[in-house]
Amino acid sequence: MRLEDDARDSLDQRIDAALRSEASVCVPDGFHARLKRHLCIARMLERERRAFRVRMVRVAGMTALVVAVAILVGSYLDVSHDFLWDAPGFWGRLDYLAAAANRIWLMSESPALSLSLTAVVATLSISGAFVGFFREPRRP
Amino acid sequence: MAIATATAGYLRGMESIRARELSDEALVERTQAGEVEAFSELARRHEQTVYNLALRFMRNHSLAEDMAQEAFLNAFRKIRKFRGDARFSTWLYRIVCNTCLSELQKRKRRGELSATMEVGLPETPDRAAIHADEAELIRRCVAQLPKRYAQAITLYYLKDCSYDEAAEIMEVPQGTLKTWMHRARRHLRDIVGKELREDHET
Repeated sequence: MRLEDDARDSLDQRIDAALRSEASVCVPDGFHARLKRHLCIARMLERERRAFRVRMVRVAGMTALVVAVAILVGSYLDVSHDFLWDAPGFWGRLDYLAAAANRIWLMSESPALSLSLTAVVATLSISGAFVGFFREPRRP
Repeated sequence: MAIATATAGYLRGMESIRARELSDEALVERTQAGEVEAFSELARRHEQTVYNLALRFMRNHSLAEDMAQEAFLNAFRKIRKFRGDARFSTWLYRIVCNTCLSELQKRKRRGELSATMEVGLPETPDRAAIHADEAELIRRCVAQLPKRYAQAITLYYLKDCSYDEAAEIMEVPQGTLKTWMHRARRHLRDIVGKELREDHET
C-alpha cells in the first residue's frame, strides 16, 4: 500500500513538473501580418452584409409601397374599364391564356398536389436564396 | 506620389504609436466603433499568450496558429457583444479555449485523434519519439481528459494566467475550479500511468 502511495506521489510530481516546465514559444513569423489581412477581409465582409441588408429592406419597403399605392389607386379608379377595354386584343389574349391553363390543369393528375408542391418549392427556393446572405461567415 | 505614400505611412505609424499608448478598454471601444487598427493592437498585445494557449490544446504548431487566428477573428466579429464586465484578456482567452475545444471535439468525432493526440500531420513526431520524451507524453495526455478538466489544467499551468483568472475564464467559482483540478489530476494520473505501462510492455 505504501509502495503504491509512493509511486502515485512520484507520478504526480512528474506530471506537475512536466506541465510547469513547458516553455512559452514565440508566435510564428508573419502571424500578425496574416491576421491583419484576415481582419480587413472580415471587416469588408461585414460591411457588405450590412449594406445588403439595408438594400433588401429598402427594396422590400419600395415594393410594399408600390403595391399599396396600386391597390389604393385601383380601388378609387375604374382601372379595368379604362385600361382593359382600350387595349386591343386584350380579352382575346386573356381567353387564350385561360384556355391553355385549363388544358394543362386538366392534364395533371392532381391539381391540388401540383399547386401545393409548386408553392413549397418556390418558397424554399426564395428562402434558400436569402438565408445564404444572412448566415455567419465560414472560417477563412 | 512618393510624398503621398510617405505621408500615408507616417500617419499610419503615428496611429500605431497612439494605439500602443491606450489601455485595452480604450482599444475595445475604438474597435467597437469600427477601427480595425485598434483590434490589431489588441491582438499584438495578446498574440503570444493566445498562441501558447492554442498550442497547449492542439499540440501542433500549424493547428495552433490556425486556431489562434480563428479565435482572434471570432473575437473581432463578436466584439460588439463585449460588455466590459470582465477584462478583455479573460474574454479573449475564453474564446480561444472554446475554439480549440470545439475543434478537438470535431476531430475526435471524425476519428482524427489517437490516444496521445497524434494528429497525423507531417509535423507530428512519431510515436516512439513522443514516448521517449516523458514530459511531452504527459502534456499530450491532457487532450484525453474531459473538456472542462483539460481546460482547467491547461489554464492553470499557463504562465500568464493566474488561478483567479482561470476561474474567471471558465466562469466558475474558485472552489469549483479547485475541485475540477483535483479530479483532473487524478484522471490524468490514471491516463499517464496507463500510457507508461503500455510503453513498458511494448
